[in-house]
Amino acid sequence: MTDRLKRVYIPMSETAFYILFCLRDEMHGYSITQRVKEMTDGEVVITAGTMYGSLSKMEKDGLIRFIREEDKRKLYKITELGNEILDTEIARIKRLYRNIGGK
Amino acid sequence: MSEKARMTTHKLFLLPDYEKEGEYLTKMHSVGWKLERVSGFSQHFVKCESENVVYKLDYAANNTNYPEYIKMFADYGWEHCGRVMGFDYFRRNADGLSEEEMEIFSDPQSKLDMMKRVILTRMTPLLIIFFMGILPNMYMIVVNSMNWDRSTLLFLAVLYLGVFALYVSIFIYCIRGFRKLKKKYTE
Repeated sequence: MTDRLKRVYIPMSETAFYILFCLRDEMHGYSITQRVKEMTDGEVVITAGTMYGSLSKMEKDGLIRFIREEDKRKLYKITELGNEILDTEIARIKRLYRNIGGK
Repeated sequence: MSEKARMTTHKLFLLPDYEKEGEYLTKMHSVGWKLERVSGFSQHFVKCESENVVYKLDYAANNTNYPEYIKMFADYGWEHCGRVMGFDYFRRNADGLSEEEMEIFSDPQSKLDMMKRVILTRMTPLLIIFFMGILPNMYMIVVNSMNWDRSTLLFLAVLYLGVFALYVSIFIYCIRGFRKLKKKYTE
């Protein structure tokens, strides 16, 4: 993992975290927003411009990759590099949670 | 069938004014003027019922797959209604929408990212044209000033100083505008 990507993505914004987390399954932009809404009881809403910009940036940085197109929608999936960054972030959040008294 | 009333306004919205332009179009729609198309610095409207429709401008830069881009916005309920100089215009009916649903950006970082794209791919080329086109010409005038008669020299001096002043004031306006936006996004 490059230092530049670490600096950019860790700690991660909630938007970036949920996008990467969802993309462990193959998905397209709008379906990610829908799933994140369900996962967070409507607390986290990722809008169109933010989704498009985030996916473009993550694809360029090699965190996710384009799988196929379906009805003009691009489906993406997380890459090995993306997984590595996501795992680093998850470990960070777990440590945070432990230190505030969680299990 | 009666011809629908149309109207065109010529409002100058410069690079950092994309939010103001969205607000202007939203206001026009609320008083019964629906955007038909945009071209350069002109906004063409057609008469409609007063509606609560929100307009937003996005600047995606180097869209490799334009239909996919439009489709993604459509999935979220945004209708594409124009494109000028790389800015894409979107609108949607705002009745019953939450604050978030009326925005195209849901976090400050993506607003900043869009601003950076505008600066990098729109503002920078203007600066390069300025330094490569106008400044060398001004220099040539000074160097050749001996060979020309006074009226030619005066004409060229006024012309280039005018263009120079215009450029500089546009740059100052843009830099100030971007600074204000940055402050707004990071506060």
